[in-house]
Amino acid sequence: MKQFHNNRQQEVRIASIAVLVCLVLLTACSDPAYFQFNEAYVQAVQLKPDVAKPQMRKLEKRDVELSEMQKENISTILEGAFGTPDQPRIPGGVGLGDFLSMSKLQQAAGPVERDEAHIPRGLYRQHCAHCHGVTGDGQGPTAAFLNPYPRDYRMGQFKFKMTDSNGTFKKPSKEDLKTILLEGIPGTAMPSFRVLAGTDINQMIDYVIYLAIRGEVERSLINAALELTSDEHPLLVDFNNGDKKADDLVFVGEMISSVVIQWVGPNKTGNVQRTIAAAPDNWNSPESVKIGRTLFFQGKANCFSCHGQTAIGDGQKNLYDNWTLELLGLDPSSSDAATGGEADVADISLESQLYFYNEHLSGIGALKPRAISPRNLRLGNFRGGRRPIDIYQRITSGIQGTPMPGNTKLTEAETWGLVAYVLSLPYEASSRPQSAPAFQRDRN
Amino acid sequence: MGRFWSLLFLSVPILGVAVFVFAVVPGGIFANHWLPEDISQHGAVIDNLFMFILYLTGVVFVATSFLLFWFMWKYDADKNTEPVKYLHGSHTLEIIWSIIPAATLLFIAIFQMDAWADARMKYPTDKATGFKKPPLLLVTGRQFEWRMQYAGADKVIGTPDDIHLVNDLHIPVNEEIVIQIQTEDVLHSFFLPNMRIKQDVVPGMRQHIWFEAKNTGTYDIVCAELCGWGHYKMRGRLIVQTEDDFKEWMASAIAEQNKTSLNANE
Repeated sequence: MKQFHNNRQQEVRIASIAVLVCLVLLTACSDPAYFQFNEAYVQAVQLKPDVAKPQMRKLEKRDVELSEMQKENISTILEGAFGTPDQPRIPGGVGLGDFLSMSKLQQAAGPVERDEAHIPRGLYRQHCAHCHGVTGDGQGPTAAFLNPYPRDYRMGQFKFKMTDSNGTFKKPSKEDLKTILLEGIPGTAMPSFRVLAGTDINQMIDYVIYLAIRGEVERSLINAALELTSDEHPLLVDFNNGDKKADDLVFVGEMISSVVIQWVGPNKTGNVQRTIAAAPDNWNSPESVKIGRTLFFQGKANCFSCHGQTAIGDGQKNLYDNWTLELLGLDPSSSDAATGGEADVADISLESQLYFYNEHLSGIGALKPRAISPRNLRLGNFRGGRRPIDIYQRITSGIQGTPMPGNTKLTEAETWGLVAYVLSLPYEASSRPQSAPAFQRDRN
Repeated sequence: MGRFWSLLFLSVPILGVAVFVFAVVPGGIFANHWLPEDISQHGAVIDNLFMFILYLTGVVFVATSFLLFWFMWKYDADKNTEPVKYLHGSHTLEIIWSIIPAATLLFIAIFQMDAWADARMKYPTDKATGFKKPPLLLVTGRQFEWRMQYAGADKVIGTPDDIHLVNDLHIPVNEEIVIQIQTEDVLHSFFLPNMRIKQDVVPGMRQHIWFEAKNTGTYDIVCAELCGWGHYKMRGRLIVQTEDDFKEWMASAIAEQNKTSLNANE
């Protein structure tokens, strides 16, 4: 009996050591990081909703489908141009040289560690990836717990920026991204990174832009590959065919350039923030606030239709941002969908909308779509900033990727009146309910 | 074998004391592991209380550890062949070891009363007006950042002239500061290590803390209560400035928040 007892103890000991060894090996031998292929977008463009029966949301398959070989080909092209999450690359000859810095990208990429000079590396994975994902797809491990979801950079659309919303160069400037990193986005899970060194912030900005460009190029490649399917050579770049390869690569280069130009702007060093002329002196006078209040409820500004009669954001319940529209099988680029989608989306409940997601997207890791609610303007949470110019920019240029449109019909005085009214809303008596009886000795 | 165990237990007090000695000695492997630099007016009192309790418990720790070692060494079963004797407990001893700790705890409770009152109960008064000093700002903890709302020119929090900042706390040096703290979501703890200030921020409660900085410089704000997966990143910076610098900074912060033009030539 004693013998048996000793044997059992020995077995337990050996087993626990074996488990420990396995754990150490598992952590040491994880696969190198890779960029995930944008399967959700492939599904979104391959399958079209049945326009004739929108209530049913039955999806007709297009006659073309991306083959596994084509997907692999796209991944190879992307890796050639942009490298991997551990070894990023800046594609040459597309005008990115003066805009993104290779040393900054390398510092921001890769696993979290410190180099010989004790300078932190892998900043993106340390600070951003757990929400925004290694690929920048907004699907990091913590993403599902957040509302709103973290941004998916791959669509190349950014909400809060001071660049000109008209024309080609509306991508955010580096300065805009820096503001978001320093200030965070109140009312969302995006925190402020003000305590980080300025160099760290700049490295992460370059890396986010790199991911956004890569993601948008990936989408263009998927579109282009779908066009090619009926062709004899279904591959975008035929790496085995010497002559054709060179031509193909030129074609891909042009495709990358067309994304890059929107970021680097005409002078190749990045977009610049727009000009906002100084507000009239009396912009926040009571008269001006009154003008704003009147406009809020009129068709010219039309704020109330979404933000509600009392500005608490209850005017519309079934609005979707562009990222969600895509998951619902709708085309965010159609102006109808993007501006609130009266005809296309409004009459359809989210449950029937979810048909496309449940059928085709839930299995590949896309997050469950949610409606976007218009902001409650009485809380004093202004996501894009609370400076008068921030509100001015939101009103005049809208918020990209959301149903919030830019209003170009208003005069300067009217716009500033609205700015003043919006900024005064959190301080109206009705915004501040009577505080609860003090249950702690009031020291004031 | 018995000797081995007694020596092993002897290593506990030796290593325990060594860790503290290494932490206090500047440089070396445990450098910067002792208390952070104290820049507050009241911090010395807190630190002295800490040191007092550390010495007291340190002496008890070393004494009991050595006793344990000594008994194990002396009554090692391999060296003692005498049968075990059973002794009933001693009433006198029990009274002694109950009264001594009770008296010690009572002493500490009374000894620290002033420190507690200064830190938590004697709300500062404004010397100029004689009234309670209004808070300079409201700090709101949320997952995972500290949002600052300065009272602005009217010295009232919650009015349109408030200045809103995030993770960025500026205060003037050599002036008693009152801060109101609250949380927007879960339990946080507002911790200024260099100011020896730590206060839990409880949902539904608004609390006040006060302190006076002696030195200018940049220091840490951290969250000292596990508040979620991003707890580690809930950091901010405390910038203590001279009165002039603080006023200048405040003016620039006001100008920035009221900005009504961008890139315009004026």
